Amino acid sequence: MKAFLLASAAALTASAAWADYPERPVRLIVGFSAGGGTDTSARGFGSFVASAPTMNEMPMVVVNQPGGSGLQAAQTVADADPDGYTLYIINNGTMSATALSTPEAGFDPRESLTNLGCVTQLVTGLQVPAGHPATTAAEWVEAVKSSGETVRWSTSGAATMHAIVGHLFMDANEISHQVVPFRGGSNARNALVAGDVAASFNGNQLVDGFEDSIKVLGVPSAERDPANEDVPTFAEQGLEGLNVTGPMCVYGPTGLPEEVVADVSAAIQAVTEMEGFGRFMGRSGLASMHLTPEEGAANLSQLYETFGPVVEQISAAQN
Amino acid sequence: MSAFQDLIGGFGMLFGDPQAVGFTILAAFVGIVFGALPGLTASAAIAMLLPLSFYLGPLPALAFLYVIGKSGRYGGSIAAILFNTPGTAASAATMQDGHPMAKRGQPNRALRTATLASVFGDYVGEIILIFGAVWIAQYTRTFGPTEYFAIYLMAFVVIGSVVGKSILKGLLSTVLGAMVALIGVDIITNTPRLTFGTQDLRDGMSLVPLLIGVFVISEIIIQAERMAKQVAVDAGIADEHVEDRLTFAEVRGLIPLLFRSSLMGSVIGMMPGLGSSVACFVAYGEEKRRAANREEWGTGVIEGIAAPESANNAVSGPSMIPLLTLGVPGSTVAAVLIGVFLIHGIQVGPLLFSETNMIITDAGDFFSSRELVFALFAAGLLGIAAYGLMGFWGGPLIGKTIARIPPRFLYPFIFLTSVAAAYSARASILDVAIALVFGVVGYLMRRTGFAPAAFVIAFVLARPMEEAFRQALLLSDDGVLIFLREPVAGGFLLVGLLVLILRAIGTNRAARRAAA
Repeated sequence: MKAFLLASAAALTASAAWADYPERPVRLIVGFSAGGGTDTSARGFGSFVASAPTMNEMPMVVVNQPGGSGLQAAQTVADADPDGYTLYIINNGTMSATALSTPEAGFDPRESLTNLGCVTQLVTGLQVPAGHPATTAAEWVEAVKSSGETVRWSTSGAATMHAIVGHLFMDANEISHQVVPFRGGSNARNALVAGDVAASFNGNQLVDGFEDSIKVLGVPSAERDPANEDVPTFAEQGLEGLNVTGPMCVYGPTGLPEEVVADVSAAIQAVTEMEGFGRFMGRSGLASMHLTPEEGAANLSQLYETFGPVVEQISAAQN
Repeated sequence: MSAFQDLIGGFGMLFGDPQAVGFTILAAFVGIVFGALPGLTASAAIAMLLPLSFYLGPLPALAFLYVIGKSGRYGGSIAAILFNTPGTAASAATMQDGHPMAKRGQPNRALRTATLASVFGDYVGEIILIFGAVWIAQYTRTFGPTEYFAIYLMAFVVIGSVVGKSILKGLLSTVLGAMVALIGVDIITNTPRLTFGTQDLRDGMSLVPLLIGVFVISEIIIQAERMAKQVAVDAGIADEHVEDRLTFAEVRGLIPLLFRSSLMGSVIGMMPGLGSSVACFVAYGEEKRRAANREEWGTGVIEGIAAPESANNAVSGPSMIPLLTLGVPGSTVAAVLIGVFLIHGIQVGPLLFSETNMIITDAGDFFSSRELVFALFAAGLLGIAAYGLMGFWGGPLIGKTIARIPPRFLYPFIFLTSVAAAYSARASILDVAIALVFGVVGYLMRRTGFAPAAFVIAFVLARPMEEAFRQALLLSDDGVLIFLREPVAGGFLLVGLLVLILRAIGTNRAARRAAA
């Protein structure tokens, strides 16, 4: 009897507490400094989310907690109270690449975080100088293989999503290559603009404004990217298809109450349907795109499987 | 004259953003006050206020910190003239004639000369920056890792050998800064270095707490020590004002001197590592050599104030040229500003002048980085006018007010603010510890004649230099020969070598003369 009373009391307080989530603004943690790509997307999302019907006009307030390439913030959210007032926003590609290449952190987002849905995506592209004679990725592969030269390509870091896609592409097409990692995508792009490298695997949003000097020959996704409809996928061009995109997803700790999961994931879907949000993302060269929590989690697992062997190969090459 | 049209566009963007105008004017005031506080420099003010700029858009943030750099250099002259202590190293030369003039009852004449000279020099420097940077940037766009490595290496050698009195101590300070910069994940191989197994140091030592430690906390320790020792400073000025005004004819007579000193300051400013503190002494020495009334210098002549003050402010604009055209900070103020650009997601370098390099803000506004840079230039021009007006009429009042604040209240307050600033940059207690540790390191460096400025600039330069070196090797089939094969890279390396040799000959000769 006592146990039953306690349980029902607990259930009552719980339902009272969650009855109208959210009752106060939600902290949306960004694992990078203010002003970067993740931060800009997060602030855009945070400013639109208050008008989603399930959010009771409560905003999501962006809090920057840079450190450990975003892993510290992920751990903070994983350890936070599962009350739905501390959430995390991160690109799946970034998070899986970082967690895999930092095994000493002992952090697995598939186990410690709950996916609540995704709002946009970063897509890697094979980028080459605009003056290159090849018009498709297939032609480019032909051209570099017959030239017999080592292809030097720039990318946004040693083991970022873009770098991993580059390694996968070069190895699958048996191209002799040398990666030149840069600190961040802008620096990698600048190396391509300056003509220091022959190609770049980099986020396609960074080509915005540089169309005179860079063209994108293909993307490693299963479907074309809504932000760049005219760029074909590798599979379409008869090359070995990959299925790598980096959706920007919202996460909470594990053990979130069902109502929170329902409210936040409904709000995420509502934001991706807002016209203003699409326009906002468009300015960064991105497109609004929705994945459900299940799709987001499946994408993360799939990235883990694809990236795992490549990350091991990259770190083995250093030792 | 496309730079001229862009500048008009820059004014349009500046005045379209009331927040940016407000922060530009606030910066003029804040810089004067910090500069006038004995011991605190423009770099200290910028380091402390940098975290505040996280909450501003890119233009107000950059304008705020950039204009503090200008007005801080000017503010130092108030302390030099009224209290006979240099508010900043940049105004050390101003003391020699500024204080004697104030002492004989003409403080306002001295302050107004300093104000007019600073404004004149700053405008000359700013105009050289606006037209020079655009012109240089078109040549640096095609620079890659090879050229960058050579430039960084040259900057390293020049900074290490010219900052401070001893070449050896200067170079050692540079090496120390470079070693601190090695902490963090190696970008080429993704291997953590010197992180002691913690996640906190994976992204490297952060710049803001390090700057706060080296520039602010070390200075507070020095002030505390000075108070404990009760060092008496000859700070008295006459109670009665005697012919305490600056006439139009005097100003007109100064114009050729102002032009010469401003150009000297601008040229010195363009060299990485040479800053206001060098420029003011060079201009003072050169004008004294030319002067007909040479023997009166040091007793309070008007030219002895105008020469160093115009030269030290003329440094401000041109010292941004290496930053904006190459991404290489040539001064400590520029080293801090590089952090502000990065915080707002803007890569510094020749592509800044690209009209298609778009930036978007939290508010959803978007503009090209070229527009932003020209709006920043416009803010610089406005900021000079603002501090000039404030200083011309308010300088004496600001000076008197600061003299009334007892140091035992002032410095603890600054200490607390700087700790809060170190914490707030990333909401990190580790950063507070870093600020305190580097406060002690900075203090020890100053007391032993090492060069904190070289240390900080090396810290900022070492990482990109190492990356450029290794990227260049990855791009090369011939290993290190790539640096000699590329003409631009080879040229910069040669300049570095020449500076080192000239400087070694110079000190050698000075040592022999001292021995003889």
